[in-house]
Parts: sequence; structure tokens; C-alpha cells
Amino acid sequence: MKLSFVLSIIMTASLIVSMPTSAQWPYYLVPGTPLLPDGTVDMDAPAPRTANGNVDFTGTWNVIRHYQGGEQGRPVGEPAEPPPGVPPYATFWDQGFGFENGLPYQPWAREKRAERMANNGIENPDSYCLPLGHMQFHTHGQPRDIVQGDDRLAIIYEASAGVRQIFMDGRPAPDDEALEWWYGYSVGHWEGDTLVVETTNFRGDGWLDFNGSPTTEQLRTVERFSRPTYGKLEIDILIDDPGAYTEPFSLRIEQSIMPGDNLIEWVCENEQSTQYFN
Amino acid sequence: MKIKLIILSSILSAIFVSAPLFAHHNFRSEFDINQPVIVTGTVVRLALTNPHARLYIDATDDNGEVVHWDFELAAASSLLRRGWKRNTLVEGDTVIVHAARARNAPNVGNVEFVTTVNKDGSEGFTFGSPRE
Repeated sequence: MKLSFVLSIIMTASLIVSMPTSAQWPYYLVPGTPLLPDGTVDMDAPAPRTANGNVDFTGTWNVIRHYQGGEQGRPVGEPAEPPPGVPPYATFWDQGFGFENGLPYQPWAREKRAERMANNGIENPDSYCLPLGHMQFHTHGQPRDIVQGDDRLAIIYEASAGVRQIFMDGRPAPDDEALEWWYGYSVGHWEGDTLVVETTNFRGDGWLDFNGSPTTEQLRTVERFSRPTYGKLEIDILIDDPGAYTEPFSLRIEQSIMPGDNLIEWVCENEQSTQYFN
Repeated sequence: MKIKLIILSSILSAIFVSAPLFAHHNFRSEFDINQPVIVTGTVVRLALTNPHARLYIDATDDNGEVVHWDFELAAASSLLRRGWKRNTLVEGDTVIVHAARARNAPNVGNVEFVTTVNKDGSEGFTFGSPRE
């Protein structure tokens, strides 16, 4: 038997076993889940739609990693080549991993990131149970739930028990005098089957990745959410922050539906690690 | 037969190990991978909490003194997805903990893997795996 065939069996067995059957959170496959004749979920079925005809992103989603994970999951090796026209893949640790020369940092931002990496990220907000930024939330190993209505959409992140709301009722983005937020202020509109979300009014101390790429109050993001199949979510995000970067850049995030699974309660009630930081 | 064993091993690994580790804080900010430690002791409590579960065990040092160890595990939700249950380890269980020591606390560590010890002294289940 060829080694590649054996490995494919092993990989398949791992994938089948590792999620639903091992999860201790009650498994429940929601009615309407598309199934193949053999009873397994048809991940390539068309994306579901809401009553008003929009693509429905509702579901529990797990990030797809397009890179080899080294120590603690940090990307190692060569970055995966995205299809033509698709921006480099985002990674939790390093958003510049897929760029030939890294991110286009302003000098101070490059220095700040280097400083944070040198001290092992001891100021990382997440370490202190504070919210992660959008990019870390999008790429985190813990799943997220999208709950979609006609006029708004909520993303509930298991990691850090984060909650983000996106308004799709036609309201304008707030003016510059409005307060700044960990999650910013997000307004969305439909362009065909793509939900386009613009977010402004961020706090100026967010981290773009685990290595500590900084952001400022000038950060503006534009996300394009699409669901090409039942099983797959694609998000292309434009990062535009002239306070920290010399030019805007885009990243691709991909997530896979987790049929039958849900978020597990996550309350940051026992943070004891930071006392040992040095 | 060999292939069956490989597949079985793969499935068990998937249940207990495979979910990719993700970071709540940088491992190196707290622990030193170059200071491994193996501690055999008795479980005092498994706290399935977030942002990290913790395993408290009592072990006897070379001087016969009982030492209280505080081990950090992954987040509770992550462990649950990997097959852990609230009674996976209970008070009084004997375990062998493979961990990395904290940089600045003598009896604190980050768990690499835990092996249970049966009453007859043989090794039981192993949860976790050697670091990548």
C-alpha cells in the first residue's frame, strides 16, 4: 500500500474523528443541513439564504490554516500561494507572513513590533483578558458564531468571549468625534452576494497579530464576506491605517463550517499567567 | 496490521491531541522550553477554567517534603474539544506530568502531556503530546 494512500486515510480519519465525536458540548445537527446520500454533510452544497434572499452566513465557523504551524502554532516554512487575484492568507501570529517583504510598516510601527516580539508579547491585550483585534479574532483557533438578521449581524467569538455587531440598516458610520472602541463601529451593505463591511472608530492600541503589529486610531477596515458553498466562508479584508503603515494592504481569511457544533462557554475567570511574566 | 495500528494511533491522537494549540499569551513570556520537568504526584484538583485550565498536584521531593505544583493547561474549551471531561483527572489520581518550568516561579509549569498511573503501577492514558 502506498504511503500517500495510508497518510490520506490517516488524515481523513483524523478529520472525521477530531471534531464532533470528540466534542463534549452536545452535538446537534440543525434541521436543513444539506446531506449527501451517505448521510454526511454536503460541504459543497449551495450557500443557504435568508427569507429575503440574502446569503446567510449564520453558523459556527472554524478557521482554515494555509500554513504549517510550528511552536504554539506560529507559521513556519513557505507561505501558501493563494489563487490569482486573492490576497495573501492571514495568519494569527504574523499578518505579513504571506508578503514577500512583510507588512509595509511605518518606521515607528516596525520598531514597536520588534520591541513586542523581543519581550515575548507581555503586553498582549489578550493575555489580560482584553479583546483581540479583528484580525486575531478572524484567525483564532477557537471558533466563532455568526448570527444574521436582516438589519444586523453579530459575530460571537469563543475566544475572549468577544462580541461584534455589524449594522446593515443603512445607517452611516459615526463621525470622528464619536468614541473609539475595541471592535470599532461596523456598517455593512450588500453588493450582490457579498456583504461589504466598513469599520472605523477603533481604539489606537489594538494588535493586528500575535507578534504585535500595531494599529492606530486611523485604522479603517473594509471586509468582503462571501460564502461560495455551504461549507466555506471567505473574508477579504483591506487594512488601511496610514498612522502605522505606508500603504493599505489586503488579506484573505477562510473559514469552514462546523456542522453540529457550537461555541463552548468561555469566561476568563482564572487568569493567573501574567503574574509569572518576565 | 501495521496500518491498522497507525490508523488507531492517529484516531486516538486526534481525540486527545489534534486541535491546534492557539495562543492566549506567548508561551515564552512565562515558560522556558529549555527547562523541562517530569513530576509524579497526586492530583489535588483539575480546574477546567479559562483562559487556561490548571492542574494542581502534590508531589514529594528528594527530601521527602510535599511540594504543591501548579500546572497550566490549554483553555477548558480547547480541552473539552479534545475529549477531556470534568472527571478525566480527579483528586487522588496518580499522574506523571511532563512540563516546561516557569521562568520565575519554582513550582509552576506548562503541561506538555500527562500520563495517568494505574493502581498496579502501570501507565494508563496519556493526554497531550510532546511539543512540536
